[in-house]
Amino acid sequence: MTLTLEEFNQCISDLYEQSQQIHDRWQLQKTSKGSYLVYSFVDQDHLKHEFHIVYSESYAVPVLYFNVSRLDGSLLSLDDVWQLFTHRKTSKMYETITQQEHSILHRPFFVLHPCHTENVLKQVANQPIKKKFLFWLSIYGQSVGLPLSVHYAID
Amino acid sequence: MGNASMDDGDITRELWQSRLPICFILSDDDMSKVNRSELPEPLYLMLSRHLYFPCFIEKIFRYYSTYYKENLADTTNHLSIHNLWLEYESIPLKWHYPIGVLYDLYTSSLTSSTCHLPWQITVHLSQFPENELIRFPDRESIEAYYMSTLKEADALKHKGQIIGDMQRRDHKQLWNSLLQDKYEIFWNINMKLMSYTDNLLYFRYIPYRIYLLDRPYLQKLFAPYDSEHDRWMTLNDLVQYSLNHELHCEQFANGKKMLNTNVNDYQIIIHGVQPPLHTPVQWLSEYFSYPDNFLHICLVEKRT
Repeated sequence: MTLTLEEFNQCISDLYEQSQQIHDRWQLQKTSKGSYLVYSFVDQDHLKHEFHIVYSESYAVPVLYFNVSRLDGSLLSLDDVWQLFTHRKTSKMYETITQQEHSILHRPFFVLHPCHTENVLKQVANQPIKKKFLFWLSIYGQSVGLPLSVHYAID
Repeated sequence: MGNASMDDGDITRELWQSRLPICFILSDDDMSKVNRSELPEPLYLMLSRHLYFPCFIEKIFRYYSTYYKENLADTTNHLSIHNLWLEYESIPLKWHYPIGVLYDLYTSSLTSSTCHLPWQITVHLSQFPENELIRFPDRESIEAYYMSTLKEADALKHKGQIIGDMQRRDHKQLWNSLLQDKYEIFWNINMKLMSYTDNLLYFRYIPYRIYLLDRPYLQKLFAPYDSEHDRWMTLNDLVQYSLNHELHCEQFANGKKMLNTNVNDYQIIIHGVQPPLHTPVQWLSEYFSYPDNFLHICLVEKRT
């Protein structure tokens, strides 16, 4: 199941509003190339995690980009990132998380491959758009350490 | 578009065989760290236009590493295969783009001399610009990048139905035949990705990217056939549409050089040639795409 650009923009706008209400960290970026959501935090190992939710026109689904950087600004490598989020390296990792050119910022970001998103969303095919979006975010975000407050699920 | 004629097949074979002579020279900065009395000679390689520079990282590094035998163990030098990157006229080369795309974009625009062969590229062994370039630590990462682009192309053309139905071994075969230069094996499988679905006689959308100097690439949803007017969309239509859309976006951003949207002010280059502007994009997508199934189109402003 897919999302139109309008539906996506509505979802990120709603999430941003809710985030403001509960004093969470989501930021809404509006650019001439499209709008996207940003969430960042620094973990206990002083690693900065940055997440972007961007719309993919090609797949008509949201896409989760992220980067993890050290205090000195250097980015974590692919291997480091895989270590951070999974227990062991398998060949499947290459189909899941790799580096790509961010479709709006056009610089390197890690991305969770969107080719399976439509399948994942089938499980919530009959739900309202907003629930579909949160479902997607909770699954994809959780796999890469994006904290998502339970408050977002409460209307 | 009808059945492929003999000529169309010849075209894909010709494109497959295109190569570029490249001359790799070591950066001045890295040259100064060489510890041998003889400095490295340039490295000459003949590379496929449709492959990617990261495929040759190992080869290039192996060549230069002999000149750094002692220095390699010294970590303060940061000389490592993982920090190898390429540059042309001070521009870090975005090596996730096919080699031919980079050549057409940069050599047609930047320098004034008319002949750019062999193409002279600078090799750096340190200070990898990680905010600009994607890292390819191994062969599998290049394959993964290729496959993700191919999947995106199929998502545009067929909602991902064809690539989704393919066996994993077919995916592997595509990449391996590309690396091993096996045209027949490649096209045996790629042909399936060029077929039609949903009772259409064309692709849902055309996978394409338009490259201009000093700008990120342009990519929009573009259908090859206008059913309302019973008209096949041409290369001219595609480029005009993309430029218009980009200008529209730009009008909301400040301080940028105004984009020239006059198609006739550009050379429109794919695989080093300028196809006629009236060529239907459906045909171009089937016969002029790169092995990743995208049309990579370079726009170079004509010199006045």
